[in-house]
Amino acid sequence: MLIGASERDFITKGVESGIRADGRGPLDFRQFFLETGMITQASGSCRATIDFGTDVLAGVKVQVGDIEGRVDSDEAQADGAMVEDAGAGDDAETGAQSRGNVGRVVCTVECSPAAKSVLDAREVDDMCNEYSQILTRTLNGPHGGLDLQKLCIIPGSTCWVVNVDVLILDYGGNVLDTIFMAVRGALHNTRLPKATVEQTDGHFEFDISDDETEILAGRESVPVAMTLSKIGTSRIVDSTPLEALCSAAQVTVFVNRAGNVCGLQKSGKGSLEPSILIDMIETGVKLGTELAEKLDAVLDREERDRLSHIEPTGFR
Amino acid sequence: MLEISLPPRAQARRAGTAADGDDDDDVDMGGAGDRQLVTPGETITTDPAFMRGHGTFTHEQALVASVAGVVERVNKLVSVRPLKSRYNGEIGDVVVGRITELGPKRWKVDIKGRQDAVLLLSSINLPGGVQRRKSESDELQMRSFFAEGDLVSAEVQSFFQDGGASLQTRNIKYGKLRNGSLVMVHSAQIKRSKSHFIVLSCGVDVVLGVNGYVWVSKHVPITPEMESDPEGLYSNQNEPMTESERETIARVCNVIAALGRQNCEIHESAIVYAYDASLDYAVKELLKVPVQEAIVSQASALLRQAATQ
Amino acid sequence: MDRKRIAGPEKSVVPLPAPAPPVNPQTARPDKRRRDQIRSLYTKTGSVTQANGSAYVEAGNIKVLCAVYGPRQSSSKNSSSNTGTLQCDFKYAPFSGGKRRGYAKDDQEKEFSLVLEQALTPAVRLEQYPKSTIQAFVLVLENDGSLASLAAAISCAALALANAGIEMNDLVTACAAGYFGSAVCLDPTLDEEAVQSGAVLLSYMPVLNEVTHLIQTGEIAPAQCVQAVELCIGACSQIHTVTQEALLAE
Repeated sequence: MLIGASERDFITKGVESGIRADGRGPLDFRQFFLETGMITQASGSCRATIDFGTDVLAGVKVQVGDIEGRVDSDEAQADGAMVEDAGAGDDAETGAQSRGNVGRVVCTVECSPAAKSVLDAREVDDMCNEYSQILTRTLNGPHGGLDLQKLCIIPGSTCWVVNVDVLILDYGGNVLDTIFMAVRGALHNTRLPKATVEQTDGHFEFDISDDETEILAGRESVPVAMTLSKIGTSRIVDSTPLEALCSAAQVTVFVNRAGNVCGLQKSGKGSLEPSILIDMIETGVKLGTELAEKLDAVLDREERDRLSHIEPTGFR
Repeated sequence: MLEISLPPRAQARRAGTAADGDDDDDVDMGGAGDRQLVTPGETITTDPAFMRGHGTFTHEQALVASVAGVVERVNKLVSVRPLKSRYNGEIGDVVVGRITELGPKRWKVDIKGRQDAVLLLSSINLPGGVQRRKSESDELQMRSFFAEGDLVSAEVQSFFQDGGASLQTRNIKYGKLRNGSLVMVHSAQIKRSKSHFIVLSCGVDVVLGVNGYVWVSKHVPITPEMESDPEGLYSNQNEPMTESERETIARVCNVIAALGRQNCEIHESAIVYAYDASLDYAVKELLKVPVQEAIVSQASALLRQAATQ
Repeated sequence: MDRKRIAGPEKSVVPLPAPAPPVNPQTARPDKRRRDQIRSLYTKTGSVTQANGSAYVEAGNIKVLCAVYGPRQSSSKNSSSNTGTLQCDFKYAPFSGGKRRGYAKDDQEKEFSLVLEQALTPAVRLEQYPKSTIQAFVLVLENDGSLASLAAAISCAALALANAGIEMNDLVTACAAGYFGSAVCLDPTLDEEAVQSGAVLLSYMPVLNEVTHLIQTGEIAPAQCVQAVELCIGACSQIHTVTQEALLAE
């Protein structure tokens, strides 16, 4: 995407004086739309849209997998700091033990070809990789909210693997926040088939129920993302594509319902003065908590509608 | 201001206000009147007397539509005007475009058409007035006139063999765009008219590009001195702006975007009426769909009223 | 698949070592450092003779090598830009960690490459290098704490860029910290990382007083998070004095 020098100047000065090109203030959002459960084949699904902007569809598929697989193929991340072991910290469990009885979340972000042409192909690949890593890092850990130990079926051998696949259907700025909204909605919407474990002469056997399902434990503590973009000397939320081009640095704050920081991520190729950075973190926490509350209200209503068998509209 | 809700269509369905199925096809079948709507592959006529125009082809003596649209007939020539298409240029059109590439003695300009248009170095006003002779140094400093990403208003001057448009900016009213922002609408919504350069009474200039790009900016009067001012013509510097000027520009942008989203024709009086109707709301409220619907219906009522008088 | 190399079995399992006594940095750190103390640093420039600039950084057991090539002509595709580009490439050596790494870059290494680019670009005066590309290749020879290694990689790459004579606004340094309950410890090792509840990585331009990158994981109260950021900024300034000396020592 291209932007002219005078447009850049107009947007920057506008942000600095508190009036953005579409009349919003620095901390005003566009209208968000959210609906869950429209993909019946998925264990959970959610579509989050910004009015006339970004469109993100998240689908969750749960599968039964080997716990061993985690130690093998994901060792790279499991032994790193980026993915904390569940139950680490003050709990008595050491990493090696806790690794044996937790499930895992596998996240992928893909940009649909429909949205791809707006951006440069390499940028899109980098962006998808970056977002996949951020999602995986945020959800695989105690700070991710989900109770990973509850995903364990047979300790040491079998667990649930929660595959979170995110599709960016349309690009209109503020993608990461929308992705987290969609993922949080999809996890909230997910139903895990009930697994019953039986022990016969030292061997574990499990049975997966066809009709009995349960919700994901800890789904209400999944964090939301709140991205603040620095433009000129000020900072804004919910940037449009043109505003994103004018911003050299962004800070994303991941906040859960309790108002705690669950992660921070700076992106973009600019730098930030510490005082601005700290202000952005504090503003992000405040707005993120508000977003989490409002999102919960919508998701609770979706849950009620689901229980009273009101079907989602989907893409109609 | 942070709102999350169900998508509007889902809201209506769950509230039970829309009956199943019939909320999509509110096309007024009877209202088509003398207009004949066709879809690709539909036979328009089997009468061999008619001639084949744009958007049609002949198949076993029948004249068949190749696009979805409205049938138009000029004497024996039958053509189909597509409901939606990329911008198709005509000589004399006022367009707004974005520079995408620099080439030898030319710029490539995106005008939302099938191909990028071309702006030749010889079709622009060089700083220093009309009398000035072109020199090789102009070719070396082309990026100081227009760089990638710059927006420009221009006129379609001619077409090349391959159908690409050639633009010109040899008039003080054309040239580099500053002091505002761009709104994108469908090209079909902007009809060719006498005035594509609109000066609104609220102190905002609007350039209605026939290609669907609309430039909204602060009003800057054109003076004869500007033509010879070498710095001003291609400067990237915006004029200083007050907060109320910024708000007015944002309001006009949002009004035009609202008209665009509600599939209205966009011309001077539509903008003026919709702008007046929008004054009841704060600028950022104009981003909401119900507000957009309200001001557009108010504006179209006023337009109809004006037409009957 | 790479057929030229001797492939190991498709699935391999690291033999489990005897469980070490659990570390608890809240009371005492294994290497007897204070909580706000970083590992001792050794830095050297010019260690790769064929590169335009290079640097080697050792922090405790962490060993990082960086070579800088360029500026040279960008490929024709993106040569029209007015500013240069900085390309960073981050790779762990196969033997650097507990488990052997493959030769191809995995997703984490790709992400760390992007982090390096984002952390270093604000410092490099790319407007001085139109149509050129500067490449920085970072190799982690030994990994003792993955965020701490990434921090060392950022400082090392900045040093190598300066050694290559690339025009820069400031010398970027970076530092990691881990959360252990209510305590924040600077520069955690691999053993400490296993028991931490969260971590921060911060890169900083000490002279200009600008933060160039920030990553945080783990749930934490906002106030403690701000405290960790400030602690890291202080440590980055300390690292700066060391890297400055290394640059002038050659």
